[in-house]
Amino acid sequence: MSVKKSMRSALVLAFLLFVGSISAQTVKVNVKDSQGEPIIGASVVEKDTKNGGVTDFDGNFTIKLTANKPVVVSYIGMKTKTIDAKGKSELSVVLEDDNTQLEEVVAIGYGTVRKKDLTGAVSQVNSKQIENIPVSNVSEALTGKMAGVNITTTEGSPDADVKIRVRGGGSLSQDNSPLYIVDGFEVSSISDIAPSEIETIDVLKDASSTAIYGARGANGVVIVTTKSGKEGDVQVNLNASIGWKSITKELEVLNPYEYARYQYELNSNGNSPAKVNSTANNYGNWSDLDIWRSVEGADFQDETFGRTGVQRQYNASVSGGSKDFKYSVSYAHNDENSIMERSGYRKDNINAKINTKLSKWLTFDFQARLANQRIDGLNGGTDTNESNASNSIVYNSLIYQPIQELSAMDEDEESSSATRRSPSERLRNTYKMQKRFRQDYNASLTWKPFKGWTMKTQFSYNWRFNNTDQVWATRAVSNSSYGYNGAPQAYFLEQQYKGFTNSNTVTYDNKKLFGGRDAINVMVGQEWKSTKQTDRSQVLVSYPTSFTTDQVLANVAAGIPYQNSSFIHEDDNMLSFFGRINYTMMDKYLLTFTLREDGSSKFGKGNRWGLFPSLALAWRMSDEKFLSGVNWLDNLKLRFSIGTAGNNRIPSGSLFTTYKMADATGKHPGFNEKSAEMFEHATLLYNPDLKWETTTTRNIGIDYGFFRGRLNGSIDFYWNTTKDLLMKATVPSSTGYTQQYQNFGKTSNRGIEFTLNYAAIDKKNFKLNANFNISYNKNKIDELPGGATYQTSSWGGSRVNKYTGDFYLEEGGRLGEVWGYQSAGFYTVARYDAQGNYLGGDLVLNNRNQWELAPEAARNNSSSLFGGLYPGTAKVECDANGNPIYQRLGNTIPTTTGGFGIDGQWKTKYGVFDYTVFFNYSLGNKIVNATKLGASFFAGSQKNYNVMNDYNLDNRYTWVDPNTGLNLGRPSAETVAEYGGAQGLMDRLNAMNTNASVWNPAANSTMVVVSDALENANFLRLQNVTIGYSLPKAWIKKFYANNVRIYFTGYNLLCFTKYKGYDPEVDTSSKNNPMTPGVDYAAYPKSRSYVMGINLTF
Amino acid sequence: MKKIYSIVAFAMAALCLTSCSDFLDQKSESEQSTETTYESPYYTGLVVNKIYGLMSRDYTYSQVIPIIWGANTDTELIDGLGTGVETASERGVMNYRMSETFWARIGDWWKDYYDIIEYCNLVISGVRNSELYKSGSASDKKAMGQYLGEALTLRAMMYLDIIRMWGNVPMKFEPTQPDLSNAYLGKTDRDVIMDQLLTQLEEAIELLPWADAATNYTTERVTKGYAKALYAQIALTRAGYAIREDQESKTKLAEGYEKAPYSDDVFMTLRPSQSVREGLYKKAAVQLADIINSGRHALNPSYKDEWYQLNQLVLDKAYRENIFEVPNLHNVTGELGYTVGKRMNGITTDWGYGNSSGKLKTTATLWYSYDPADTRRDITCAVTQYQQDGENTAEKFIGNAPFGIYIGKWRPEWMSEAWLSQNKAASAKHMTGINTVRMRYAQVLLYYAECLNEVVGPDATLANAGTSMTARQALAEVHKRAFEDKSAAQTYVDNLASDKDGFREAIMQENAWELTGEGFRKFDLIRWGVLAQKIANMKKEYNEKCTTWDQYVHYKASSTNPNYVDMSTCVYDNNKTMDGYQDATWFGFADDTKKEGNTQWSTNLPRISEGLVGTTIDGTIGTPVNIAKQAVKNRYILPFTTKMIADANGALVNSYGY
Repeated sequence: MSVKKSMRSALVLAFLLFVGSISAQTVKVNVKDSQGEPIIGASVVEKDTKNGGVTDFDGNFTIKLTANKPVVVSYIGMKTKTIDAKGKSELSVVLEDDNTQLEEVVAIGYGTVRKKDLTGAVSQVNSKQIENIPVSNVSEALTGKMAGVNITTTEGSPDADVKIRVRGGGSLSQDNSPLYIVDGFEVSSISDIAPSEIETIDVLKDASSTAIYGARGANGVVIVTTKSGKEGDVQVNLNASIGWKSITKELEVLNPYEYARYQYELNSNGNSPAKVNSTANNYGNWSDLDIWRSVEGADFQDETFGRTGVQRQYNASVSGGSKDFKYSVSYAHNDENSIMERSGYRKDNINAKINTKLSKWLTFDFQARLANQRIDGLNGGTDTNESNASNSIVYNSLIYQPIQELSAMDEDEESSSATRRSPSERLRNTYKMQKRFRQDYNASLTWKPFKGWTMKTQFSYNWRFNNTDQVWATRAVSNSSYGYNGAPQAYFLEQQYKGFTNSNTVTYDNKKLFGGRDAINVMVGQEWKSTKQTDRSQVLVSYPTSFTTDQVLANVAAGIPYQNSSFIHEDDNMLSFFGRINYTMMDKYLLTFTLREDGSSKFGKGNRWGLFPSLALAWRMSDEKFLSGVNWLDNLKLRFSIGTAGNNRIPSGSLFTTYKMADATGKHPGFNEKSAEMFEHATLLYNPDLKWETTTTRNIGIDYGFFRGRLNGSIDFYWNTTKDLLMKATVPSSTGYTQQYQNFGKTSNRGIEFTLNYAAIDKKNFKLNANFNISYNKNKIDELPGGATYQTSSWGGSRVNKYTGDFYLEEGGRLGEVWGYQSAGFYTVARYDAQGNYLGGDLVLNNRNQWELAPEAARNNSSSLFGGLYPGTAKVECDANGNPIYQRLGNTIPTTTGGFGIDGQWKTKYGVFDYTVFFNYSLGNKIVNATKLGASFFAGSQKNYNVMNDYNLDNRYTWVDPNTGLNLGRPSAETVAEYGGAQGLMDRLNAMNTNASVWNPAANSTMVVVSDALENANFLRLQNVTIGYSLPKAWIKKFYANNVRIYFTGYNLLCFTKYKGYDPEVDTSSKNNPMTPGVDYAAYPKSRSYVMGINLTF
Repeated sequence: MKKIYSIVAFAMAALCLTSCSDFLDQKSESEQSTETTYESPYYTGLVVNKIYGLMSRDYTYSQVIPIIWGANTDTELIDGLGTGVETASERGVMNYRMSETFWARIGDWWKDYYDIIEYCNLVISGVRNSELYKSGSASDKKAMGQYLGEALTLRAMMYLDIIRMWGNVPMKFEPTQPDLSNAYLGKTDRDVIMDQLLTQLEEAIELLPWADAATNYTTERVTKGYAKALYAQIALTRAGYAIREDQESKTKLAEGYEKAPYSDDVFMTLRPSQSVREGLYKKAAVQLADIINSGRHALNPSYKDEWYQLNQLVLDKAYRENIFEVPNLHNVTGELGYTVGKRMNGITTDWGYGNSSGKLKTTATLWYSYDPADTRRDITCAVTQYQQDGENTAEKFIGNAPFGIYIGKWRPEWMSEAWLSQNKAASAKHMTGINTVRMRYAQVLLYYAECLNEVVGPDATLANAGTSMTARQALAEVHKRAFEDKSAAQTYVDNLASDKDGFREAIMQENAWELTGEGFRKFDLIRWGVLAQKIANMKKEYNEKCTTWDQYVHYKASSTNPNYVDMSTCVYDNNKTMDGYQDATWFGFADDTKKEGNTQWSTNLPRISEGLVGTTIDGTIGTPVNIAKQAVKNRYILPFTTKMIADANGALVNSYGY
């Protein structure tokens, strides 16, 4: 909008200087748009002459007709009108919006195409949709907006992984993220691009579109085009916003009193009537436990995540240019304090672009993008020196004891109070700073030697530094993978990447084939690409124990250098040849044929080259004669495509056994008490026969537009199959390895995507647009030679018994199938009537004071999974022999996702209000609520940890007799005597637990994945509400401003879900193993945010 | 302009065409191929270092093998007592309560051993194919040969440990092939594997130098002496009893194997025939005699100094009693002294951060079995612990904890200054770096005594053994070292039985006195076929004797520190106090009623090792209380976990009723 306006002003000014004499027939032309708003700067020209000018602020221009020809009124983005003005002195012209949907240009790789001529499945988001809503991360702006593009923000931390999946993704064990192309060049992530810089984002979904990227396009391609300068006056944009973030919810754990009561079930205090009231008890003697009711206790979730984060964004851009020289420079700054103490980030981006015409035939483009990021603080899960996630600060904020036991003496290492540190304390003792600096330089030369021929050479160079500094002060060093526990340590990592890409294309374009009936566009090209990476790291240990993290940073030399290491990665090189033919017949029949051959340095000699062809056809039915009479139909296009794309995402060193120096986390031998260097092989077994993974995509789609474009959208059906999967296959550990990359198996994704845009109200003063998209995807594992395998998400470290694995892959199955045990309550005490007849229940106390199954009770061996046989031990579904049945519990991958929303504006004489409301949703999956499961039992000997509030006294099976404080679950001989024998004790346990509905966490020392932990993860999220207000033009004219808009936005305002964890959109384990999606363990909680800001355009 | 552009375009195309093939052949400069690695003694040495590095991981020799694997015996108990034996951790497993689903970590141990084996395979095949080894200079050949010998020896060591825990296992002596042709291996009879190991060790013995006879070859690496001792250890294991799978039991029985007196009828406990055993004993004796004759290794005359130096992280270059120690590194690896050892209960001013040394403990029955003059008693059994008492650190008796005596072979007062200063500053566990000893000269002598006793009896010599030492003389060396009064000790040895069976008992007893807490005894008891019986005996002995034992100990403060105990002043009796002495509770009960009211007797005693010997305390072996599918007698062996089985695609199956 602003561009148009400024151009208008410029042209008006130009015109004013140009006003000539008026003679002959004079016609006053008034130009308005369909809403009746005057169009400023519309061109009014006498046909076939140079006589004419542009309209003024009120949409008026008076033209003096000299040649007696009709008047041509035109304006960018609107349909040109030619009007006979003979004999008229005034002319009122209403210009209609050109059907922009169809004229919009879409990036398709090494070129663009009008949306109208598109043969493939492409989703687009443009700057309009992004610029009104301030977001800190591009991916955030895309969530739910595009059918078939599923975006999951895996957790709430500032550097959280954003998982983008286009049509499900075909690989099982490989990264399924799409290829990212920014301004023509591949980048590894789009998170370092300032959202304000983006012009459009196109997502290529089917092979017809992605095949031009060949090997790398199998998982879709996200093409980001940044803003460029436009011809016209200098335009200045300024934006500023400030926002506030806070945690969406806290999880409920036991309160101090409940916690003390629970701890009583764990310790042996209640074993003897004599000791129950001894003062040596950890949380006080039994009769005094009530004092904990008045104790508030620590809320570590609040201490860790409770703060209100503040985010600020500023950006400024200057652009403009002449016909031969265009420029654009923008700067963006974002900073944020996140909700977790000591975490936040800062981002500065500069993007400069120039485009200059060196001669009539030669154009030169240059772009520089600089991004400087600083990320403070920890993410969820483990952080470098922690041995597993159950030790993480995030997780401990939930389960750490809310109150201190009275005595700190304990035999157990894990629960010895000296090694336990509260999450807040650990947080204060941890420093983590990631600095990422990235520079990208692109230059291209376009040469148009003859009509229709374009030769283009593009060169890109990028240079990245990723540095990570971590320091742990004494209290955060108790479980370090480097050793040297108990004294501060530091870790510094420097990573450097350098890459270049050179691509050369020749394009032949002829729109006048067969006398203008057909058009052809042929492009052939070649590209080579190389990436180098060097890592260097340092570990220093044994700083003076009194040192704070700041002191360590200030005096790095005070530590003992433990290990320095470096690694020069092999160059990742690729050489490609490609070509594309677009043929348009009679403007109705479209054909695209694409062929690409890629050679990758990642594969061995025989398997290096992959050939990826694709073919697409489209039929613009609405242009057929038989439909030309249908008034309400203005666009109907049928598309069909088939093609292949590849995938080579395997790490280096997968082809041969190679050795490299071990790093600091390796355990080095201490010959003569000196750490000796070691050479180690790759962790995966090599495989010289690895080859390309290939995805074949078939797509049928319809683009439609009805009622003059008021209702439009598309529907697509696809069927993708991926074969020769690059799988990280499990091999028996007796090989000395646990996994190997192999090509095997076949998966498929079938799905439907539907999008609908509806301009529901299109009045002059009020507009309401509604949009809706839905996609359904079903993944299937078609072939899996070698048989089914279990995968373990290893979420609980040592807390949870991994059994065989919690995810199961099998031929005919799907990714994300969770296996485990079906919960079936808990063991109870057997009941007998006075005659000794069995009335139900499971256990009886034998004469050794141990529990055993009553002879009458059904056989049930569940207790073998949970550690011990007690009343209150969890039970699972068992077979006829009483053995637990390991079975399928659910799937963690949503089948249906999408979004819907409304937006529009309301014009008043006091200015324009605009509004956006957007929801996104996800259906059809479950999430493993491992956070809850991990806090529902006592792991091994880990006393003094809290559990979820689900296990409070109202719900759980309890052992401790509220009257006496004696522990009846693990009774001593004295306790049994106290109750007049086993029967008395059993009766008492039954009486105490008539209302018990869940197991006793104290009875379960190990845990497996049970159905209780699988929760429905369907959700509907009110993702965004924005209200904007633009000041009336009349007011702001005085300040030479074109537009002043203030706005207010809320993010993640509501989430309707049955899921009981922090947020149902979560995925903490697939970072390490993509075959274990949908686990929620120690995730950094998500936040809700409110932002207000201002946009200024001059 | 056009010209320039054309030139650029042509140059690009030309550059591309000429460099195409190189462009796609990329290799990391930081990675070495197999060919370059094994053509350089330096790089080969680095890979061998990795083998030692892998041996100091938690699940190998830093923690699990020395501290956990050796439990439970009659003198060594894991810290699972009473209901603790149900815990799905080493507490349950080492009380022999196991099933394939019980504790997944068993699979992690397994994995770590095969990691080491694969590295050994890579070194062995790398060196054998190395031009440098085949036709390099004499010094290169020698260096590479030593690495080959090391890898062969270490691989044999790994296999011995795996066999002893899991029985029949996959036998893989080649590097893993990328086509997985040798990945899905089934189980091989452990006797077949051990026979191969013996042959391979013969080669290794030739290649390896004696300790300190070649640069860098200290006792922190495997040397000729260790290879020989390992040879004997394997031969003795091969000759001993082991539980067998069902089908195997029948076959072996038909081959002339002998069934143990305590054996399952289906999964039989068997040992080879008399003639096979004798052959093995003779071969072992020859290797052991070589060590004895070499002069490279000897007993440290002071049992205390032997342990003191180890705790000090000092290699004993004078006697080299420790024939091979796994090279742990202070602060990084080695949990001896932390997870096992004399207890530092909580943070103390004298010793700093506390330790959690209760993972492995010994028993009051062992304490009572020692001759009071035996210096090994107070070193092995730490009946006191350090704890903070106001401003001072005090040494206190542990009280009536008959199954909770700490193993005193690792103790803070013997540890180094560097450790102490670090521990005082520490606020968390830090690794002690104490090396894990895998073979002591004392074991060599006891093995030698055993071999000779089995072949010729206690007092005869074996022709061709290379030494004229008799079994009794070998035992005497071990026994006498522990006593100040050598002649009294000699009298004890002289009075030992002169028949094979009687003398074997004496060797078993000496083994307990000498080696308790070091993780060896369990495997010796297994091959002697007496593991279950010895544990049952211990339970019976405690039950019978705890009322006869003294109830109190009286002691005086140490002359150097009034808060510490002078162990030499201890007096034991049933009086609560004694004039001029301080007093503490000891292990005895006044009468049966006192013992019956006590958790140690009523709850803990019956459940000790209940998965192997049941809950009886009368010296009979009860029905194993277990969670496996079937109850099986003498099932000391670990199950394969479900994951191990699943990963092996059917190549591995559990036996022994799991």
